[in-house]
Amino acid sequence: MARFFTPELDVDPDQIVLCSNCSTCRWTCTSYEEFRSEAMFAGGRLRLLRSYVEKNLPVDEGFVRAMYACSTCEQCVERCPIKVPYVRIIEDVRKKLVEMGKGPYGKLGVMGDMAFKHNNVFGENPRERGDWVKPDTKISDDSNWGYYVGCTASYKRPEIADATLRMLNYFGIEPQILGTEEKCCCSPLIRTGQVVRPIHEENEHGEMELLGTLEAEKFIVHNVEQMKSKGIEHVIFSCSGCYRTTTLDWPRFYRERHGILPFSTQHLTQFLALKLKKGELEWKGSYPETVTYHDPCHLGRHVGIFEPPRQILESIPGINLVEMERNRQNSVCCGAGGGFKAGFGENAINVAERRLNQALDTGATTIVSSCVFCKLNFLDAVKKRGVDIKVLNIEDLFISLMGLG
Amino acid sequence: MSASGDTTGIPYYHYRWKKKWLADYVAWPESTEQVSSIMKFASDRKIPVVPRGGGTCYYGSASPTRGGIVLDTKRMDKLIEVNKEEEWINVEAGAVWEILDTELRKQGLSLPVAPQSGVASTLAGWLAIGGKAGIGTPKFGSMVDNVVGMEVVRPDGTIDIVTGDDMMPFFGTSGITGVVTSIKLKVIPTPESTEGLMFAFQELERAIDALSRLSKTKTQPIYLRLTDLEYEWRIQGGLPPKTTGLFFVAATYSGTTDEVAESIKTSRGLFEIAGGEEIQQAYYEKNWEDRNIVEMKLKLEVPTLSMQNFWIPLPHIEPLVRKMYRIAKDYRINSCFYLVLGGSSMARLCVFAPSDHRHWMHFMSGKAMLHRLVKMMYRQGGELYTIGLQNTVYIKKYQPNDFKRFKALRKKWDRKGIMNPDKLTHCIMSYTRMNLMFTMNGNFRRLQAVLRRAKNILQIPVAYQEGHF
Repeated sequence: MARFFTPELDVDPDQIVLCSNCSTCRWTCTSYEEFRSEAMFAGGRLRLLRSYVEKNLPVDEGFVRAMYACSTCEQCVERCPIKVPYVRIIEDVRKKLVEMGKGPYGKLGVMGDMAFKHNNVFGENPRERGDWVKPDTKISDDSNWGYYVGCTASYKRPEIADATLRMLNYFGIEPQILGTEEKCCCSPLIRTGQVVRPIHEENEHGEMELLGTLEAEKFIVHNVEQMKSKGIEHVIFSCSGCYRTTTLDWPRFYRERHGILPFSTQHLTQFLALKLKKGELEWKGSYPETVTYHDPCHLGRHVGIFEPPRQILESIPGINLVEMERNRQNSVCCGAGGGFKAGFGENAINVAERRLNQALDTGATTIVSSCVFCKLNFLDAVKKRGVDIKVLNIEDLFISLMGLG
Repeated sequence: MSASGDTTGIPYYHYRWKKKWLADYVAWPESTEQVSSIMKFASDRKIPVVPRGGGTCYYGSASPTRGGIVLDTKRMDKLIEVNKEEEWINVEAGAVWEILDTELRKQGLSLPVAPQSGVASTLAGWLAIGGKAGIGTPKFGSMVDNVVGMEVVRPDGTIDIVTGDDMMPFFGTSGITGVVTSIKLKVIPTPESTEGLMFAFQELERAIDALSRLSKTKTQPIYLRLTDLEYEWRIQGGLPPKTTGLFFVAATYSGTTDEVAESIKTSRGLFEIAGGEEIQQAYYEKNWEDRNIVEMKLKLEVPTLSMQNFWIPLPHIEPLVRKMYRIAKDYRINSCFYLVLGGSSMARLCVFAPSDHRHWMHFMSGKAMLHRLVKMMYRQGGELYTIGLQNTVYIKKYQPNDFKRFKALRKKWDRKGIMNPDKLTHCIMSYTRMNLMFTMNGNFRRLQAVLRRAKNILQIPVAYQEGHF
């Protein structure tokens, strides 16, 4: 085995040889469509990785850039004839790059710094994490329902957090929230390889001083223990990224040393679809417009939730739900995930613009999603590129049709 | 580096076939004029040019061997003109088969033929390796029968429109005569119905007999494939349901609903007479859906794919397959095959030696098996399907007429020898050296097997390799 793999990058050789270089993944890759470069799609990246590993080449900036110019949308895994776990490989490589001190790419390191200092990736004041709660909504201290808000809804899109809380209140649920005790779910950190990373800061003499080590596991354990201490049994998520991380990544980090997670997880679209199925959801208003649904990668391909959001939308009176050519498993990424937006801002907006144009091609006047990142990126594209389409999340529609807003 | 190197699955294996394995430049032209400028530049300075489409060829057809320029045509993918009345399209040669077909289907048209690698390969890529056997070829002929005309850039940079026999130097010549930039291609109205069936056979002779009979029927299938059990087992991750068969024939027809129903009836009759047992429709459908990725699915269980493609008449297949099983048994390695009907009773037989290149002896024994099969195939009549980098050494030895033809083409069109060097007309590796290496390797492996030291690293799913041959 040592014959071919003489590593600076000692990634698992079994993973690298999996890819057969058939390039099936090329033509659906978000990043290839944007950069049109052979190093910017799953197969090309693996080829690059293999060359670096086999030839033991020093890692340079181009390599780091290629490894980070991926939104980890998993479209490649969906297309791959042999389902090479590409996203896991790329996350491992990013982790390795961070360990080597060569990653993360560009400004992505700021997310880790901010998470270390402020418990959220935006560098906002952690004491203000629960400030989005409005006086006319209800939260409790003893419910077995919890609502994990996430950094983006807490600070950047508080209307999403508010809408979700109102929705839960509507169904008689007064959830507990962790408020100032809530820490980042670690989705952006895990996706960008910042699972363990030393944090440095420049001191007054201009020298880099070690502040401590960022450890994603500590964040996760803290969040789980907080929920456990509050007796939360069911957790609702409005953020697809948080939901994916909690459902797929948290058990990985938590189980080994602490046991199984003491609560179940549910995305709000699953919650609403269940209410619909039970006959507990009766719409009070109508939405007489042509609407198309964009599957968030984290909720769709990663976790497999495709139908509940559609069931909810189809039940809305007056709505005309149309599908984009690429939907469900084949849905196109919006360009916000995997650190792509934070690392390649303008490119992410280009990707979002293309997706919005695909939505317009269906004749839709509204694009609905169920992810805060997708909404954020789509709204940026609408603002900066002037795409004429309404961007909503399912919870936005809910509160406006139920007269809760 | 991912664009300038070798895009094949086992690039390290071919390092000794090359002098400089990375290109110095990669060009992504977007128009014929840009291709022409690049060719003029390269020609003036005698810089090697390696034209590349999808880069999916497993035999290194588009791998640099002396540095130079990789001329990647993937950005030339525009559909220039669609003529519904006369049923042809004019399309840039870097278009990907699957994407083009999807576009055409929106207009009620579809491509009559396409390669099995159509999800990633380009029009000119398939043309450059010959385009003889794929989906649609038994019914509509090979790619050469479906191309009306082409726009090409000669190695000296001149732009030409070629039709008829003038197109022949571009088929199966790996770009040594120039770069194809756009193709006028026949299209057909989207078929009303596409259906098929799959049968299992206990004996290879019977399966091939059924295949031969079917290849002579009036209405030809668009896809006819023969596989063995290990192949099916590996690509579908389990044995086919409710059957004890060892060989499997899948046939797909397209056309009008009545035509298809009639053809299915005929083929079912033929298969039943040959002693076949029909497989569940759902299993056939799974196979049909996977038609474009089926080779790669072998990698589900196998880290390294070694394979060889033969272009041989149907009657010559049986001895070759028997030999394959015998060698595999002797060497204690795995082997499996699939066969796709091309046209006129010629088929592409793809033999696999699944292995793991990190177990060098196992991997090289697979290669030695493929080498022995190639020699046997040449004795029996037939030729290699794809030439590329890896098989040029055989062309020189066993297909002297073709080798002369390629040399003449190179001399006529590429005097400076810049186009895709070390493909078709010259090979760095010597046949004697390779033959000696494989013979020694094979003998050593046999000795290992006799001494019970030949470890088979991959699980053999069924006992047929031991029992039946």
